[in-house]
Amino acid sequence: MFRRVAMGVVLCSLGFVADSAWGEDSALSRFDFQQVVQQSKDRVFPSLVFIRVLSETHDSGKKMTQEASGSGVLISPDGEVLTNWHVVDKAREVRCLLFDGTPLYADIIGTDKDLDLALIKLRLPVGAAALPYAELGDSAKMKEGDFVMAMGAPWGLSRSVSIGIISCTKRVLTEASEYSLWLQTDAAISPGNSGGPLINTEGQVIGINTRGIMQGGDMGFSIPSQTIAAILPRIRQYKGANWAWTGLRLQPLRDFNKNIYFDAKEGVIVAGTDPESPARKAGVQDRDRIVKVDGQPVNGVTEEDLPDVHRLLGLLAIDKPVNVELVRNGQTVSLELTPREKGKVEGEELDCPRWDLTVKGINQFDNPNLYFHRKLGVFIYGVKFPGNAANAGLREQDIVLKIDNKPVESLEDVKALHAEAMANLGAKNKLMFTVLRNGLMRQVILDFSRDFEKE
Amino acid sequence: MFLKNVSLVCALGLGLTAQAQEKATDTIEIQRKLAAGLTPSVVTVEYTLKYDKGEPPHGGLGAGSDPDAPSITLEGFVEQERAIQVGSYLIGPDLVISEELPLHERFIEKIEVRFKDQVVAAKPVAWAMNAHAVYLRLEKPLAGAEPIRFDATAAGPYMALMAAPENASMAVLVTPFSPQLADSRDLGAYVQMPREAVMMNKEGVAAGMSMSPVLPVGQDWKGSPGDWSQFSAEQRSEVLARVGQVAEGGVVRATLNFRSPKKGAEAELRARMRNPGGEDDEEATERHVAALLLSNGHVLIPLDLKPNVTARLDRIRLFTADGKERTASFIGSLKDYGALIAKLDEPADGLGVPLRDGAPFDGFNEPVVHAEVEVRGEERLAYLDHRRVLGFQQGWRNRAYPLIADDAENSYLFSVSGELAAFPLATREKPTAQPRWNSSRPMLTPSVYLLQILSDLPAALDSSNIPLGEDQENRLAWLGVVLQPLDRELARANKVAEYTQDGRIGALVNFIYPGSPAAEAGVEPGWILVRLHIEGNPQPVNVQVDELSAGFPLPWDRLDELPEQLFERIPQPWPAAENQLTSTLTEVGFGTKFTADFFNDGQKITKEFAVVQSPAHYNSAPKYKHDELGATVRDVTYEVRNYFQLEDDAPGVIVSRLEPGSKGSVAGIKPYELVTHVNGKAVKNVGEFEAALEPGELRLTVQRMTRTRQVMVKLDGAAAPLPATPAPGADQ
Repeated sequence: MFRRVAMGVVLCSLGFVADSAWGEDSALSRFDFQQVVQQSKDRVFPSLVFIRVLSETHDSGKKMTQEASGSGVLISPDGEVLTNWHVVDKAREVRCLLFDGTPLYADIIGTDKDLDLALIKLRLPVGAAALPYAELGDSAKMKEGDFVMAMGAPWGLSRSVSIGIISCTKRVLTEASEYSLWLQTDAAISPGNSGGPLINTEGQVIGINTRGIMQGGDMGFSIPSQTIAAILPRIRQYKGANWAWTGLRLQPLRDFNKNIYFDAKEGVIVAGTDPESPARKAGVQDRDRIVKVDGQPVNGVTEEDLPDVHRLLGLLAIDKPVNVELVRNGQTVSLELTPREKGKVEGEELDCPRWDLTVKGINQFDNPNLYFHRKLGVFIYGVKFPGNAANAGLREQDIVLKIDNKPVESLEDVKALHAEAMANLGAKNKLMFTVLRNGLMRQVILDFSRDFEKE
Repeated sequence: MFLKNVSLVCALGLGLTAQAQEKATDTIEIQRKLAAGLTPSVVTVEYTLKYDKGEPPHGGLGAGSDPDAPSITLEGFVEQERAIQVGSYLIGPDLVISEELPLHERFIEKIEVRFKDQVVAAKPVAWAMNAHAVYLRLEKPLAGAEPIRFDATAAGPYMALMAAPENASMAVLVTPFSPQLADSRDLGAYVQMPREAVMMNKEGVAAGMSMSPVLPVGQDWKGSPGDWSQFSAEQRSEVLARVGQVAEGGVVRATLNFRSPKKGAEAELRARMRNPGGEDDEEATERHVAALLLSNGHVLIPLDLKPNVTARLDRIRLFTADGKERTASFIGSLKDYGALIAKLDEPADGLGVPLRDGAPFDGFNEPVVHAEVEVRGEERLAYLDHRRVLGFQQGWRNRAYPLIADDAENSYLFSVSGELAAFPLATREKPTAQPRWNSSRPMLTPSVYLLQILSDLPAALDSSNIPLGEDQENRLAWLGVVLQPLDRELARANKVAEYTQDGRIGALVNFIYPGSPAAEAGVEPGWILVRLHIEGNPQPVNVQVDELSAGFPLPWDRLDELPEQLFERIPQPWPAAENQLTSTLTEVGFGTKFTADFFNDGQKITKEFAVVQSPAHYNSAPKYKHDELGATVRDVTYEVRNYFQLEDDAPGVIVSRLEPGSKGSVAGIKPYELVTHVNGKAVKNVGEFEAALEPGELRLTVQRMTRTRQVMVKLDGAAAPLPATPAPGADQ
């Protein structure tokens, strides 16, 4: 990774500007720079899409439809638009406004929550003309200081462009994307820019703008096109990234922040393995140092290297054994590991009106601390305030074990019990919830005799 | 109070006498004449009060001095620039007899005697031995005033004439003299007398006077008070000085030192909520108190220490009258009284206070020496004066306690001969008692009760309230249940509203620890624990728990965002082993039998238990501190094991404390993480942790709730050396 960037220096994207002497004739170079900006902008600007979404959320304790806007970029003449997962997440309806003012509905082709990436497709009328589209550049060639432009609809203001430089090509954002590093830029990125393209001076998309720091000012983060290019075919094929899951938890050989340095120059350390995971079944142990997977060397020297390793593992063929070579107590050990499909990374949600709460299925990846206590089941996702559940003392993250002594193992169970309760409303207005909170069982009486939605 | 009753009885007697009503006009005429006859002899003694060293006056008012006495404090007299007025009688040209004021002279600014518009200064010269009376000598005679002339032979019937403030003015009250006799089982026969009264016959001849609420049968009230048995101011000073020396030798400052309590953030928070600091702070490491040093070297230290406080008792020192510091050893905590008994390590001859042996009622109505002794920090303050035992009240187990006109707290009563008759002592607060503001206030306890205790000391001691080693000081009793407080809705849904005061008491059993007494008794989750009946405790214990015991919902996934300065303030995430239930059982004492009332589906289930000690819990677990790592680890105890759902043989020690900026903290270790392996070896307790340490490098496997990681720390006393060569792949 480091090597490749170092070699990329030769192909500086502003190489031809560098030829004209900056210092000798600044007026001319300013003119050239202006031209470069305009040209590159013009190549991508027509493929910019403004997206408005109606989405359903359950996090406030009831089903709420909310409207949000974001950005996208056309990447094919037949109407494929790249945007962020969080722009179109739980969307009921996606509307797109093209650069020429054409409004169109769009369908979601596939998403990946971890990378925060989505591919949607415009519903084009039959016989529609080919659309302008942008081409994906190679983010691996970018280096810090390169000029870039961010396009999109900050705060819903469509067709906006801002300019800046690449601030960092290999930014690690902990808790955001296991599989990819981020491009950091100081080009202004605000809410609404999400899903919009970050382009280089050659008019190529080198990233999808995804995150900003509200208080931080000049810091925006984009998904590098290198990652996108690797995943796009899978999203088209599987409607998602379809990651393989090994259950390996890795840590780098060298951690400057924590002042931890392992006496090794290659490989990656196994921090631990998830319970019942392929890695644990294969016999991988904490403190092992993995050096090769499927014959390919893996190196996690610093934390910046880990996303590549994770991506390598995530892209392994599912249900097909691979060889893992590792070093344990100075001895080389070879193991066979069969990755599984990672599957859903989030549970389904369900609204329970009148109870004034929403529930969600427990998911191993989304709610590891709940999964620890209960492998299947449902937890309280949102508690409406004011509302009956809030008054009864039910809390978010309570795992629902029983309702009126009837076991709850799925959203369907809750749905049935809720329907039954609504049918008996008036005759029976109280239910005993048995929940698991902080690992401890509790009883809570939910009195839903009051109608908080009454106007 | 006692005296008020007497006058009420007199008034009723007057109203109900048929004869008196028939001859009302005659009687009133006679009474008026008698009153007019006494008036030239009636003077008002005025006491002007003051603060002493900033301390407001305390003590008592003479009951006859002011009818609105209960509505005004002594401090109020100062505030209102008002003197205490006592109706008194001239019995000589410059001699006044007056009811004595049960108040230390340090609070008296001046004493003056008023007659009409004359005011002269006066000073006490003597006191009556058997009456509550003081003789005041006037600076100069009062013009126009006439002393009462007494004739013991004057024939009855008599009227009782009392000079007392009435309707904001000094008045003479006249009632027929009708003493009431009380024949008491313990005090013998005595007469309840009108107080401060001159008894006259219809002719206006004074036959005698009464200056005391009671008069033992056999003592005559007739004759001049000038002839009563008296003690002079000089004699009084001599007695007070002599008894003061006895008090100095016997009521001494004791200083108790305690080990610092070993508490977690959670227990600390709980303690702060219960008791916001102050001298009675259970967590105090040094306490000073006035203790009784007895002639045989025993020491009674009146502190109601709970077992977990006594457990930390480290050292007892006595600061005796000879200026020496003496050490004493703990003997035991009294079961029934809030005190502990110690014994001087070296005998101290000549020191110590003799106890008066005899019935609690001895000394009724006699003058006693009242020593007010208080220990404030390292200072011992003592003030002496004389008082009268006004009566007795019944208290704990129907015992008799003397009453004086002052607070029992800090009051020591000595006989004139210098024997301790009574001292302040509170009964021990039962762990089962519902806390009330006055539940354990000290009472003036007659010495005879202490003598009874000392005659069979072992039987009076509580074997579970003793000093313990540091590893034992946080020991707790347990039932082995995790409880959730009930509320109204839960109580009703579980059909126990009737038994739980509609959900105000009682708790839902949510979890039962394997191997615990509750598990062995067959208690099941979902039962409701309502009450305990504990052997030797009169009140049942209504089970109440608070939400605090449920454990803190630690945001495990955001632990890295936590500033390390806050580490030691994070309460423990698992349910605390110490809660109201386990604390009560611990105080009750190990081995005590009790029954617990459970309810299941409205049906009562009674289970028998004995109080047993729990296995080590988080706050009592063995720990090990690694200085260079900056981390303290503890054994994983039963409640921690359950929280992390660890198998019995799963390795791990728990990080209980982390120094900010230490190597461990820099390496990312957080409180409440488990260390499962050290240098590749599984560690199951702090002993194995310590044994697995090797010089140079620490390789730890750290588990945060569900996830593990590897941590390496270089230990060499210096900063960890950075790797000499960059790793391959580094950007150059």
